[in-house]
Amino acid sequence: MTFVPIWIIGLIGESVPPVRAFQKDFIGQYKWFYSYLMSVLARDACLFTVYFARPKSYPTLYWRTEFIGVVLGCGLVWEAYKIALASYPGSARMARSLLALVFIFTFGRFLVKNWSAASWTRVRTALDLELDLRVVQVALLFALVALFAYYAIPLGKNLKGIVYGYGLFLVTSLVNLTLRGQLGDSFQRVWQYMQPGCYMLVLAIWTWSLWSYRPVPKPKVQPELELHYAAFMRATRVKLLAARDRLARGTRI
Amino acid sequence: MMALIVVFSFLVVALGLSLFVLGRLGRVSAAACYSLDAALPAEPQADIFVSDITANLFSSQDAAFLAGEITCDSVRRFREMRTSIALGWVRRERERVSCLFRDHRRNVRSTADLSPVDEVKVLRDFLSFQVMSGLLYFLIAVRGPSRAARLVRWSCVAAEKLQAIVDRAIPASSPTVEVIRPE
Repeated sequence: MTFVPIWIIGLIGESVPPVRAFQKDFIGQYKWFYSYLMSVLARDACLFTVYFARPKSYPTLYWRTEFIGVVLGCGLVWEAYKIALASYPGSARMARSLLALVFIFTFGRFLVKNWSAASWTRVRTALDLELDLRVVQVALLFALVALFAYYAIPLGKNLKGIVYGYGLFLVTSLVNLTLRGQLGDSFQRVWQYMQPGCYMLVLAIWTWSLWSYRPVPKPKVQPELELHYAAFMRATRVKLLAARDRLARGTRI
Repeated sequence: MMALIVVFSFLVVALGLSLFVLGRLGRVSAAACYSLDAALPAEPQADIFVSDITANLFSSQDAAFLAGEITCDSVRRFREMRTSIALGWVRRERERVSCLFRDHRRNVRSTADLSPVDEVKVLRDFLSFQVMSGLLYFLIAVRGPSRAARLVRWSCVAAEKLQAIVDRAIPASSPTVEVIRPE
């Protein structure tokens, strides 16, 4: 019964960011994130009741409702993309191409793995399915974060907390699910404490970063940089090749 | 079980660190960077100046001349200094190109007509420069500037010979070549 206090702390932790955002009137700025968090809160409260009232129904309910979080998590990634790149149409265009590529690759892998002839008839467990969907999410989020870093997109404290917190949550979930799948019931005991422990850390990140409204900084518009992309790109490439040429000529003299 | 927890913790810390490093990597410090125009000078005078420096840096004539005139210790110190200057030159070129590339990313991120394919080409050019300069840096640090230059010359000749052999073996029917040369 030692997990009951952890559970209660988790419920309190999940309710703090939405309550604080509601108080400070910025709950509408991150709709998907707060929808996600409130759905998780509702689910956990429901599971908590079921666990004591009808313990036999708990595992079934746990795995069936797990997918609501997975679907809303996709919305969270989409929200991060929309908010962060709203002022950067160039990076947004690159992000669309990159995310489409990553999605096709990871989701294609997921489909091939699940619909191949060998495993067509195999009854897949909810754990395997969740693991595969989490892999898709991790790949998408990692591609998005890499793009933010590549184009030096400022995220602001709120969005940074959401993205990094969710990234940490996904990664720890992935590791947990993989170990649970590989080791089976022997890992169950560790998993009972490890998963909530990681989740507490994620909740702490979210509470800290979303304590007050810190929007994404607006870029300083420099009119002289409103240039023709093709010409600018060509100039960069010429300068890069010139540098390479100079390096080569320097050593060949 | 303890080992598993250690492995798990290590993975989480490694992933967290990689995210942190990615975040730091993207920060553009305009003050630390040259301006776009000053980043890579295109004036012929600057280029001639660079040619003069590199001609002397990577040539073995001075070292050969000094070898008979001064003590071994002085020759060694001369080589060390020359290596240090050559490494500094390569480092400076790398910094300039990094600044140019950073400026490019910072400027194009707001451009609506950005082309992902062209961006990949720019990234490829940048990476090829980084690999080439990194290799040169390593060679200079290990072998010294004149021996490194000899090695570069030798590898260029070998590459040209290989290219000629390939061209003879596989005649190109309708090659599509994109040539961008510095003016």
